[in-house]
Amino acid sequence: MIKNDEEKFLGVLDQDTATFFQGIGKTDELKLGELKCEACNIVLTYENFGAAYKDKGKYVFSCDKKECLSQFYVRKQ
Amino acid sequence: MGDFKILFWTLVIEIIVYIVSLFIDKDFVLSFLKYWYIFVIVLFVVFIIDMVRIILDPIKTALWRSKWYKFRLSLDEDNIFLEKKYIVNDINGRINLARKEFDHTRQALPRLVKVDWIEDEKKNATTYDLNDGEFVVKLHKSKCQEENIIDMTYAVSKRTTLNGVRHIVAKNKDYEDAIDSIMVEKIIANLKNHHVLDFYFQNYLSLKTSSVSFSDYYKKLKEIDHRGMFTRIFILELFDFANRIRGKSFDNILLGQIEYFANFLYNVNPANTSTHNADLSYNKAYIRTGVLLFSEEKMLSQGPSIYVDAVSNFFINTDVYSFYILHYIKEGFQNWGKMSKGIQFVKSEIVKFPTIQLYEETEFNILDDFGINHRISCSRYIVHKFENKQMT
Repeated sequence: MIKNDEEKFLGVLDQDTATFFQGIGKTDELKLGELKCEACNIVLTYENFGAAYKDKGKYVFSCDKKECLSQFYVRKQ
Repeated sequence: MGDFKILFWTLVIEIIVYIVSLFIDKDFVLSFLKYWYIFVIVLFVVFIIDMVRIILDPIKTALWRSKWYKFRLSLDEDNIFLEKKYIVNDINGRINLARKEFDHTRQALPRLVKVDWIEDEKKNATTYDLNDGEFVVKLHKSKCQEENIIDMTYAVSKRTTLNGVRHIVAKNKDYEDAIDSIMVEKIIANLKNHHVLDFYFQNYLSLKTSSVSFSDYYKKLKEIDHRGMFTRIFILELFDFANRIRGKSFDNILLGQIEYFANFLYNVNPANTSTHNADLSYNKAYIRTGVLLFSEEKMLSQGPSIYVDAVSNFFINTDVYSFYILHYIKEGFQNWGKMSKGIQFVKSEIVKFPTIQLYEETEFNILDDFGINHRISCSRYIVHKFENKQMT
């Protein structure tokens, strides 16, 4: 149960990133290099994936660079 | 054989009683041993009460779970289930306990963090869809737990502080980074874990200090935090500022008001009241506040009434939204008795003004540049616009 003073995050272990992308149905796009980091535009891979967010039905992703994650964390609807 | 055992344990008990009786009265020891079961019952009751307190506190529960899973992981290092349980309970427990340590002004501070594994949230489904607003982060294995803790501290701090002003502060990236860095450092410092702190300074802060602009903002905000004013004044005023500008889009003037507010606070130093020439009022459109400092020389020579008049002249008549009273608590020092009475007189007189309301009063410790511990009192007062302050 989430309380009003809590901010929820869903975690993906680094070895489970393939399972995560399979779960959201983005494996093919990832393998084709179509998924990119929103901040630096680098092509995402299982290794450099950092975070993901769903905004108005669309998935947005960040790589694991600290400066990119820093911008990505403030993303809100 | 049975007789030998009885003889052996009788001898052991007699030796223990003899040794203890060298320090404690023998009759007391013997009567204690006679009623040992009362001692065990008391210990059991204390244990049950402690367990109930831990169970009712989700943060302590998470901490104890993380310790349990870490212990089990040490016996079965390749068990991913145990590793995942340890990682999330450790993150939830440690970050939230550290965050709770400075729970004053709680609305303006980062929220508590709640991390769950996505497979648990999605009930181990092979395919699923994220709901709008769900935020997924990659976490590392437990040997990189310091990195997980710092990343999650950054995430929760970035997402839940500076609400309402982030879109303005973000236009000055170095300033925004400096504010976020100070907030993250405050939480991480409360973890009291040198490994996490070292990892943070080496792998996070060092990446930013190459920017002169960031270093300048960081240095000022760090000094403001060192004096106890970062969460008690700076963040709180930005929180109220956000409420006042609600709905407004970015404007350079708004950004300027926030940037110069840090400069204002940097020049306020309760340690230097005798030579203090800095401006103690900050009057802009959406941040209007001030700080009242006490000079020992003035208090003793002119009395506390001048400070009551100062509140009227510089704060009430200039329509500030709030003001602060900051002073050192110097118990045991010469003249502290008279200073203390004067300060209490000022505080009791100013709340008699119909538009002034005490918001909160906190005391905290700081270390000065020589490593000497000082205790400081910080009181925040709200100045209402209407005479009847009960209306709000």
